[in-house]
Amino acid sequence: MKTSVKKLLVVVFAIGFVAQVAWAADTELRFSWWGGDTRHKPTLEAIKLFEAANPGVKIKAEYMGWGGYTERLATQISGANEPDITQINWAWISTMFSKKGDGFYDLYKAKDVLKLDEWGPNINYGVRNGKLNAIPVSFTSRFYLWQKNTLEKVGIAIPKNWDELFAAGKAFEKLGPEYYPIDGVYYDVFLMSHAYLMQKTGKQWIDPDTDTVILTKAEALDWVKFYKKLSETRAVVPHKLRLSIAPPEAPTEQQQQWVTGQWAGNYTWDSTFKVRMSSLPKTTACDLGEFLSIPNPKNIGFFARPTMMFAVSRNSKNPIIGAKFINFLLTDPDAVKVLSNTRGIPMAKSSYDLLAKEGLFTDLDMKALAQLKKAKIDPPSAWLESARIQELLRSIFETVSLGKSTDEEAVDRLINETNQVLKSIQ
Amino acid sequence: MTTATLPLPQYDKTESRLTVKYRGKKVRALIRYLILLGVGLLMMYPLVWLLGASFKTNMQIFSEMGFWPQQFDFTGYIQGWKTSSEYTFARYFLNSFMIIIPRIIVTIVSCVLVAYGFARFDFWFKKPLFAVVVGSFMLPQVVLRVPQYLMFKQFGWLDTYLPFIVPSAFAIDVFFVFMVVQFLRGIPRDMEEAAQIDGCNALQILWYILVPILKPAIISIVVFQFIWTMNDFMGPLIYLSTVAKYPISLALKMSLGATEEVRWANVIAMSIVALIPSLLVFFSAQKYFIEGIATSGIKG
Repeated sequence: MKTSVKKLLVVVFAIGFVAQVAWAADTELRFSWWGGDTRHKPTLEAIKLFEAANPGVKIKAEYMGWGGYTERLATQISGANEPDITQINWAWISTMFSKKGDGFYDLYKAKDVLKLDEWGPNINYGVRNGKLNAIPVSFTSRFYLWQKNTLEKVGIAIPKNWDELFAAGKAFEKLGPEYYPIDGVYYDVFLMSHAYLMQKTGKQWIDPDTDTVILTKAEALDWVKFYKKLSETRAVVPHKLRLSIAPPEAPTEQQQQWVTGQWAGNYTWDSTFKVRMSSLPKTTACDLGEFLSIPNPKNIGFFARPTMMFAVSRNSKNPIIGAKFINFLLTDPDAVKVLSNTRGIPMAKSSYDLLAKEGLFTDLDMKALAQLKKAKIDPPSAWLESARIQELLRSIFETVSLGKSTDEEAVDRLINETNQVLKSIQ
Repeated sequence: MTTATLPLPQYDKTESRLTVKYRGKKVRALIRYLILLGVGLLMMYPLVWLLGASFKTNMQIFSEMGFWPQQFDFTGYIQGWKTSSEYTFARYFLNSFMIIIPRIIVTIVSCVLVAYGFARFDFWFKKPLFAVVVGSFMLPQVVLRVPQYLMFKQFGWLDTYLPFIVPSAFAIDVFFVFMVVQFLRGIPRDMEEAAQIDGCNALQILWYILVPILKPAIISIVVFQFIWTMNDFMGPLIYLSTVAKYPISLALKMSLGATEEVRWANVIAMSIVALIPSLLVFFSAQKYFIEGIATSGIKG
């Protein structure tokens, strides 16, 4: 080829290449979330709204179900390849990805694009070592959900405190050996007894301020005895019986006894009310019960924490746009209308007001919120939700329920072994 | 003189004994088959139940054990096919096949070659190499996940199908190497020696003589690799992040959020649809298993 033609070709290719690079001026951010059918479509719509309002920005949606999300995110973070904006669990910040506080981009650096007053003091849920790792999306707590039909059959009112619950256990026996007031999922029963512990002593099992166990032996023994009392008085479905019917993690709404009303109550997250009621026949009426407590508790014992949070990756090339996107999803009226309560009741004040005005909160939601407002909420230690501690508490309480360990052994494990494990994983 | 007639009943008795024996055999066979059928149906009942459940509502699914649905509601299939994502299930099926078919092809080629090497040749370092192969078989997958992820990230292969196909091209699936090695060890070398005398080189022997004999083993590789790749969840989970590239194993779990109401009929309907290719492959391959064994290449 003649030199002049070669030179021309080189110039043409160079221009083409530069033009390509210039054309690829669309910034692309990756956004990942977990959810089900009801969450994916509205989120995709909200993304389109953001792209329309911010030309030149593209958000690539990477969504999936809950199964495997943690594993995938952990692998991506270990390879410094996580998406720019991720939906995360509150506990993951302090126990997995951001132990020192620098696991995610410090959103305080982006405070010009974030309306931080919307969350007020709740923003602290996302703060670790002075750095804002993530913004809370919604809040959830555990409440007592009751099927009214069965209670009417027995002829008692919804139990308002522990004594009434134990009495209900006896009353249910009259209906038959299959009938129990509360579905005894071992973690639910653990949390119920943990609430009792907080009511009696004001302390939690893992103290959130020190992340160690500061219970005395007497307090722990009282706790274990109460845990056993719940099964012994037929207040909850005994662990052994439930294990013979379903695996320990099997959700309540999938159990035949819940569908037919033989198990009348469930201690569960308010974000799961809809799910629990989804398998019930239309004729079953459900209601929220009072939070069961002893008279004059030291701490009402609500187990409440953010449902999920949005974080920006520390390796993101466009963290400010990422923060802008989070702010859009959580506070922009159009986005909030589209997303509505697919991620729970929003914590951002203006969004909450907007949804309340649209009448999107059910009766149960409102009752739950009313109970929460009356109480002083102490967040649990994030370590309670870490895999090792979950394994430990399951092993301790399962052996107690199945009679394979004495109360004293359980107490020893609850205090000493737990502290050892905590020291090794922190 | 009176003619004595042969006592015919003698022959009748023999015949009736035979017919009784024959009838007895039939009855015993019938009982055997009935028991086998009964136990088989019992073991298969969960799968059969799934088919019925794809027509049921949530309430019916969690309260009944019976198979027959109260209504033949096809919305499970329709909604499940549409999915709640931007793509229909057709896209995810296509993605699955785009991973499976190249993977099967390269697995067959690489595993047969490697097994041929180990079974038919002696070379320096053969024993240590074989020990390495055995060792890698023992490694739990979990140990390999993060290092492999980091490696593929450096290659720039994340969010593509290459992490699934390329390792298989290097005989990573040691199970199949073993299977073919064992198969080859059972084949006498007569025909290969004959072919050698006729002037074939090693690859020609492999292609013209051994591959036809190895058909049952190759069909097994196809079936197993098909089913395992179809069911592989962890691999696609960590390597693929674009929803448009998800295979069926990821797409099936997309509607299972942690706290959201799931319309189980949709999920079950799509699970059944996803089972069909594997079942088809398995049942059509059965024919070749039997053919391959019956028409073995060695005579005399």
